Amino acid sequence: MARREFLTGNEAMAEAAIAAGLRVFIGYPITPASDLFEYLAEKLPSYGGIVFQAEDEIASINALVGATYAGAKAMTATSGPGFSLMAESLGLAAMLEAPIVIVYNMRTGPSTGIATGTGQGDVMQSRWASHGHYGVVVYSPWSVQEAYNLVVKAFDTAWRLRVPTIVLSDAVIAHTRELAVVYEPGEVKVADRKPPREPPGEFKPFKPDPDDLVPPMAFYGEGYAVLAESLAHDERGYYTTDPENYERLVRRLEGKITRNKHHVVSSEARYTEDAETVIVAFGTLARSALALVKDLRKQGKKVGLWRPVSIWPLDEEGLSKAVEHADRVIVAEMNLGQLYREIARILGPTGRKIELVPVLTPELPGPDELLGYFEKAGVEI
Amino acid sequence: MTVQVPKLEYRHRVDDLLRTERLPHVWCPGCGIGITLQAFLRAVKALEAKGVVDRKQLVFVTGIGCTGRASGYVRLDGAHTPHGRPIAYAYGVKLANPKLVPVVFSGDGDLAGIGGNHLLHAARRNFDMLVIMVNNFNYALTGGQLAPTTPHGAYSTTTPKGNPERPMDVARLVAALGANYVARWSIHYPVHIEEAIKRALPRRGFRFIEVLSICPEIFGRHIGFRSPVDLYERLRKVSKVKKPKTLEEIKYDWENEITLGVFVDKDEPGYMESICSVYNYDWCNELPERRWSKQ
Amino acid sequence: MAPRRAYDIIILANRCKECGLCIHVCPKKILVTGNKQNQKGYRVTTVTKPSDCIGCRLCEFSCPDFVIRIEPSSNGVPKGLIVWGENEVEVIKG
Repeated sequence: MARREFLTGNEAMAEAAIAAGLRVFIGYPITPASDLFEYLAEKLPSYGGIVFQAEDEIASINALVGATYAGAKAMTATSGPGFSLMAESLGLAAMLEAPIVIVYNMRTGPSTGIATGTGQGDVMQSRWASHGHYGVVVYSPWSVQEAYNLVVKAFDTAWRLRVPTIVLSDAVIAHTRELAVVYEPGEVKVADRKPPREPPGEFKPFKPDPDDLVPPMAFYGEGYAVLAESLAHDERGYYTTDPENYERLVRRLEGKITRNKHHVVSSEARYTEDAETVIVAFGTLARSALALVKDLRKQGKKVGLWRPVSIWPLDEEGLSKAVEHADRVIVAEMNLGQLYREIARILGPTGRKIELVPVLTPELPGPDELLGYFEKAGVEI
Repeated sequence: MTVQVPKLEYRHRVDDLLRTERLPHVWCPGCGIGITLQAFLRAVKALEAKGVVDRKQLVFVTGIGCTGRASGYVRLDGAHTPHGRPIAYAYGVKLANPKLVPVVFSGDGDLAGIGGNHLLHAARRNFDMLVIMVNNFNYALTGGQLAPTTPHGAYSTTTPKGNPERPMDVARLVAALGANYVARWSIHYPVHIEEAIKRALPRRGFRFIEVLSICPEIFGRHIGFRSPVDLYERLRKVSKVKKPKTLEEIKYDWENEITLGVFVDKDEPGYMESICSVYNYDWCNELPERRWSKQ
Repeated sequence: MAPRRAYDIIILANRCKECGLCIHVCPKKILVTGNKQNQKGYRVTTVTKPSDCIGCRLCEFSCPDFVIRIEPSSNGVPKGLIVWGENEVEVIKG
């Protein structure tokens, strides 16, 4: 039964994981994600789930992969420094097509930075932290309710596509309390694995279905002798250095995301119908950007906002539609240009002017302060 | 002379637990990994014959290194994890489905080097898993670099003037951390390895078996014992079976004694049961460990 | 003294890597390096006097390559069975 709660982002994301069927939460304390862990430590057992504090984030993510292969919906929550430690096995999860979910509350970096400060400096890390080419899906909420919705969505995407899925939130949402509508387990739509169709001996753990490129999954204990092989592997999971096999595998690890984009991508456009200038911003900074757009609209300026909700992959159609009438696109983000690079890559060929407004501060600026950053960057608006 | 004889079943005794289509395996002539792996597979068959263990319950997790390739050869659920992470992976397997029995099969570098933090905490927690460490005294797969277990003074490709460090006695360390079962054997005692696994597999808590092994191709060649038999005898010289009453009696000295034997054999509640003492999950009374400890 | 039991010494030739450990550990010294090479070019262990085999299985347990299996003899006659292929088995008696 849906119920209204006044929750912080961390609490909402914990509730969302419970609703999505979370069985195992494995994590390590780190500001600003620890209280998500604490909330689940209190509540998850009553839903039959287990909470485990590992000795470090490397243990956490490797245990998560093991947990999904043993059949459990599994999640962790961390921040920049912890995610940096998880980098190697983010690649393991991608290679093994393990449907792990990671809540990643960005804080002020780099390095220890400002633990209690917010930030958006991890856009590239959330996508490319690990080595080699692989696919992940990254969502980024701007509100407590959306953080809830996106954790549920992350479980659905992870288990539908067997891909590591990250909810890239931040310190603001983590500790901001807002109204959120929350549900009980079973009341939200979350995909499950596709069970094997062939008997043991014939079933190949990495043989994809042709339509969605996603292999059915056998869990440990079901008698399929499943080998979760981190080496480059063929459809049986056997190590092979064969170049064609390697190309097929890597193209599929990412291709299954692009092939199923309609399930994955999402974005939001505001006041873009007649906008000659579109501001692109994501996460909590987009709230200030929206307020700024409204102020500018009051001054008669034709300005709009485009907000990617899926950061990786971006909703490129949504972006193109939003900037249809605009000849200027301004990316505002709390770093020195990461989302900007993607926007420039996508829209560069259209000849539009694409500018960057770096917002380097540990605190979320309001609309007026944000305008100050436009001026500091010499970007007229 | 070659004649047709009544079709004997020409298979090795543990072939049904092997992905025989992948044999001969990748390990060098005389490498002790195959000896240890066979002992493990014999133990599994013996336990299955007595109805104590079902192979479908086992999850065979290896790390990176020569031993890491073992998960590719056993016909069991398993994983080949990144370097140092089999124990961490095993946490998740057990927590997600407590009826599964994780068996970590890895090397000295993987478990005591890069994976040391997980070894410490899994042992401290008495986490329910069996860990078999094949100790070949170096990082052989990558060419013979220094390992935490490399004897003091020994050549390695990264200590060409001889290892200046004091090696780690991993079994003694794990014993000190409070694991339920700790034993160390060497490949000269294949039956003892099998018996130790038969004793350590079906029980609760953290069970650790170190097997001193020979690596003729890399470690042996580096220290002047090139042939498998030479290194076999050189290792045998220091592999001394004892019944140490205290940890201090356990030695790890390549020059005179590496103590073998059973160092710990107790039956304290494992991690999963300690969870059950706080929360009563539905699987608490279906823990294989609980059934076994009644034996 | 009861007649000693007869054993078959089954050797899956194509897995052997000529490491010599079986030869070294056999207490009766009845295993030797053969002169026939397997598919990988290793000279496969062969049996000299199968009747001296006491069935201790140290060779089987000490082989790193899952090559050797010791069985009570199928027909009471102790023999070495070097399995070179599906139906190419070299029988050694004596």
